[in-house]
Amino acid sequence: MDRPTPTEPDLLARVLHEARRCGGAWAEVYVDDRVTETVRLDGGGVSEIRSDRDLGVGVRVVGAGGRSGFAYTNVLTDVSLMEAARAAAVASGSQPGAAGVSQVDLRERAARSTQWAARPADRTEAAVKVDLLRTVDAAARSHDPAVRGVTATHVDVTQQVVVATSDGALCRDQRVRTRVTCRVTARRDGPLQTGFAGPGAGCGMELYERHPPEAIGERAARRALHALAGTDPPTGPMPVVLGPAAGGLLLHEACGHGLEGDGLTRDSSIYARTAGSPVASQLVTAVDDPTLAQAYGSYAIDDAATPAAATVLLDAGLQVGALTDAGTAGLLGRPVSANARRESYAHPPTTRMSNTYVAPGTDDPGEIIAGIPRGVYVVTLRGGDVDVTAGEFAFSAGEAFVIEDGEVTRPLAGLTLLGNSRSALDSVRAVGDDLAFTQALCGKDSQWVPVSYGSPTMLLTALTVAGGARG
Amino acid sequence: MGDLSDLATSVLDFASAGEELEVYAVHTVATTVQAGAGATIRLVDCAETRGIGIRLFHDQRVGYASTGDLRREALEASVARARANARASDPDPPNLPPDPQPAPLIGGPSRPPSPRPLADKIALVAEVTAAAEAIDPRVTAIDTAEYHDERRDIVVASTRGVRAQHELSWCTVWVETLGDHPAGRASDLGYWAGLDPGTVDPEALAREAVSRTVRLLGEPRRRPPDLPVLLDYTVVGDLLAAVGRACTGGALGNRRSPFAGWHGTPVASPTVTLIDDGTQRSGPYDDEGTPRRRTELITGGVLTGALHSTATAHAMGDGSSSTGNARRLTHRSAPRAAPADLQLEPTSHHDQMLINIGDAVVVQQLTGAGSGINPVTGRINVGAVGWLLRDGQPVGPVPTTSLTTDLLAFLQTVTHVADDGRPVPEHPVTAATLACDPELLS
Repeated sequence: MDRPTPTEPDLLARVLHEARRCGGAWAEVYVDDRVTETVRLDGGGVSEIRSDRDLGVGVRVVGAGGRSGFAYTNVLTDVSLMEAARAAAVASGSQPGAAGVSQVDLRERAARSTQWAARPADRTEAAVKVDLLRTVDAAARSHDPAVRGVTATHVDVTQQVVVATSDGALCRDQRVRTRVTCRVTARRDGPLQTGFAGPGAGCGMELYERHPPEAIGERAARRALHALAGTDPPTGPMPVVLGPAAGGLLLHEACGHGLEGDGLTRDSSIYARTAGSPVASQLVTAVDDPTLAQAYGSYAIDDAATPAAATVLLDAGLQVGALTDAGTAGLLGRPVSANARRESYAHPPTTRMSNTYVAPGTDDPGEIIAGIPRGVYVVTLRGGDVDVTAGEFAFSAGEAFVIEDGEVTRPLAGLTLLGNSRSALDSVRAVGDDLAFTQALCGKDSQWVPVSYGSPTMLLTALTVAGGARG
Repeated sequence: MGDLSDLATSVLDFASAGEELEVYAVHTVATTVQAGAGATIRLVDCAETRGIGIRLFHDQRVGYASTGDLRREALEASVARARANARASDPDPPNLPPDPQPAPLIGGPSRPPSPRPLADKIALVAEVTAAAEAIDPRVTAIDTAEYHDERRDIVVASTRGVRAQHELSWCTVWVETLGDHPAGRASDLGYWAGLDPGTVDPEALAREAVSRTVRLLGEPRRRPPDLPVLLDYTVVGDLLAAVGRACTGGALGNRRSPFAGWHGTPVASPTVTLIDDGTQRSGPYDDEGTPRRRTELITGGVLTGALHSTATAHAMGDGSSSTGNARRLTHRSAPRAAPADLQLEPTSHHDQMLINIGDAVVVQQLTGAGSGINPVTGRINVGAVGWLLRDGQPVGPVPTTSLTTDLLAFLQTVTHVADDGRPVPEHPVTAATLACDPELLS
């Protein structure tokens, strides 16, 4: 059943006009229409099949004093939309002017989609998704009798975004994302351990061709079993080799968030005062690129109508870029980098990453490991937090091993990496040629957006290894 | 509210023979005001949304659908979608809708005394920001000050006869300050949560943010190994939130909890009595219309309870019933068992506790808490950021250290629970300062 969608240029222009008539110096309408399908298998049975249709409009108005007003609604009548425009204008501190305001002449700008589905997930029966998850589940369970529990989840999103501004811009973007996650618990006689795998992409059901369901289940189970067999890590400062993709999370959390425009303009980022200076090893070049084809964090336009483009953040260790929207770019005196993102129509945009990665180097990954007499090899990082102001961080490993005499040997459990973002990136001593990505939802300011982050194999020498299983 | 109730009950008419329907309808009105340096108002956000979440039960199967489109044909289409989803599901006999229950004796509309004009909200944020900037020269910037209020009108109706409707309101005000020192930068929050923003003291809120920030500034001092450990309320919030998740029926029933199999046995020091109190801050009903209540989870160190939705209670197969802990994040989410408001029973007066303890290491922040506290395995591998308390006074930060333990071992180290409980940012926890044995950081 189709619902009337408020994306007609005439209607959008009238909403923008109303915001301007109420005194707004600049206005923007963001329309978000998305269908989300979720299928979850838990304990071998289907525990949830859920369909959601969410359609709403957010109106942002910047007043003459620079204050932003934002209002949103999912009551899509003309009356409600005009009310949202007026509420946003009032919230921006605007006062209706005496002079008349001209109509907004919207001109549609073409944007080439970065996400598309060869096999659209929203037109695929739930039963097909259930069968794929059963394969994930069976692969995980058959891996080892120690596997005690498996939860496999499929989520696909089909989203139409329309952004119109009082500058006359009118942009549309179709975004599709599919992700499957598998969480495994395993236990022998001792404590429980967990394993996780969760590939995703800006595509449809063809995700399962790139990541066969058997491999997803097997990978999650293998990680849980490695943790089960793992011993307490050696602790203290030592060389750490981050496997392909693992360094991406460190870059994302320890550096990427610090280069987001809002933190830079508030002077709350460790990178707020170091633009143009070396902040990492010369081996490190870092890029944020929302144009990567079918990547999980890609888009054709950002959520404030700026055409997507790649931004070099670190160039051979020099801090050269920042992730900005129009507001933060103006304050920083930098170009707008197309990184305004929002969770939905119910959120104002903030500066966020898209697909962020360390560019591949020239080192052979095997030789990087072979050169380490004693250290640890981290295959995946499960997550971590960074104090963006001080740069201190802690990351938990999802799968890690000891390196002894240049060989990856026994598995480790409960490994945590502690460090400081500046000194950690400065200590990168080798960068491999095997770039790989991980997909995730990134949370900031109570907003979650899809991202990916990547890296090749990297060697860092200024991390402290901590943690342990302890029972 | 009447419109929302009528809307919810009208959806029940779409149930076909043999089907049961549950409708969760919500109307949300919220305001957010953010300010930055110089008390500049950066953003004012006014929101109003409505939505419906549907659970359809048929032939022991369940299907879910949700929409923000409240036209009759859209609602009928959502029911059809839920029906199709149920058909594709596996039989799940314990997953039944709740039966109607008597209206709760506690709670009621959690409504602020009176609506405040937008201008007052803006003025409050500006006042907090200005106060924070004026207190201490070591504080060099204000990251953000924020006011947020939200009112939700919620109706749960089912073909079984459940009719639960209530209002849920809350308000938060916080400010984050940034401090500078040659040895490093630091930041922290002043935070208030409640119903009536008229009771917020902007100066006190700003002072809290500033004092928490400057305590972390300076050359780190060596941490004596044998000092007792005091956990700040935010740190306690991070840890108790994981304990609460591990005590939900879903986690215990599926053995995805370090507490699985421990019922009736000690899991904490005898000092620890942990309660989930659904009677104060959470409204009179949970998100499937079951009356909220108070549930003891740990009594004198012994695991005695679990938090249940209707489905997780049925799945236990031992006669358990819902504890009124079904929670939906939004109308789009399926209900799951989750804490309402976790609290530890206090054992000591806060000030007296500090006098008795004398010198201590105070852990004020955890780094890596999001992924480093695992409620499934119970493992804790995080960084601990804190300072030294000597003769009741902060004397400087200690180096960030690794806090490596697990939830049960942490609970065993608790020696005192102070009586300074307060709501914690981002968690359903009212947390107090805890005193723990030195071994927690060893």
